[in-house]
Amino acid sequence: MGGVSSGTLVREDFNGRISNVLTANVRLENNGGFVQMVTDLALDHSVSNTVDASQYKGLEFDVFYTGVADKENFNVQ
Amino acid sequence: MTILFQKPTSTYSSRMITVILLCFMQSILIFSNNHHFNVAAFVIPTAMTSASSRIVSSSTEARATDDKVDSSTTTNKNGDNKAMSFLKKIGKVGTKVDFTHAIGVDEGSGGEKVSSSLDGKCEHDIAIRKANHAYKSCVESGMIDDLSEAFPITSSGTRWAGVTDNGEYIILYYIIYIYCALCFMYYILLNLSSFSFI
Repeated sequence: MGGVSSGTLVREDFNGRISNVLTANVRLENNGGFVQMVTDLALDHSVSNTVDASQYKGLEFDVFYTGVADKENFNVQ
Repeated sequence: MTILFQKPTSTYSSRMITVILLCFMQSILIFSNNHHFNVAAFVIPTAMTSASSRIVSSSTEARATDDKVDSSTTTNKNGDNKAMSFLKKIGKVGTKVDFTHAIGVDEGSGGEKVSSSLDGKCEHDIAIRKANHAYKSCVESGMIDDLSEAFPITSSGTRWAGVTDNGEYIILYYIIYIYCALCFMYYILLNLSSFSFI
């Protein structure tokens, strides 16, 4: 029936660096247990819902996690 | 097996009310399904609505000023009728709107309060949303988001959003579905005696 996790996503200064800060209370009740920040790569959906990123080798981003180590999984999709 | 619909035992008006009620609930259901998703998204804060809130706050201040004026001239000193006084009171007529800090695309941000979370941009600057074609797609620039645009807009013109597994809307849908199903079953049972099975 859906989980009970909650969270916020804001832009703020984190350790002297402007960042997208995702803060959440992730709970496992009701088979839940995730929180995510998402963005679309396709700019114009009237043209296409996907993008051709074949000329790139991968993604590069900086992630800073302040929770308990080895307790959360981090996925990129 | 064919079900023939014969004259029901209930009155015409009660049957119509039941059908209208079912249609109404169905319309609510369709509306809800079109506007929510299976997961709950966060409400993206502040920035994009700052312009309208600024204008509204200016108008509100002006209306408050007018209220004061009206309260001091409730005796229609200028000969206005009650309708005019009412229009003045609600701000439709004679409102003194302060456009000093109103939005204009050629205005800078001088003197405006700068939020620390907006990377040096004023609220009314970021409220002006660029057109999609003003952004360069991430596959062209190689950058999904360098945080140069005001949150939640990315530098490639898309938007950030937060999503959790929170399923409060799903529960609501289940309740509405069950309620509709029960209403439909009740309607069928109510008119069961009027059905003829062949």
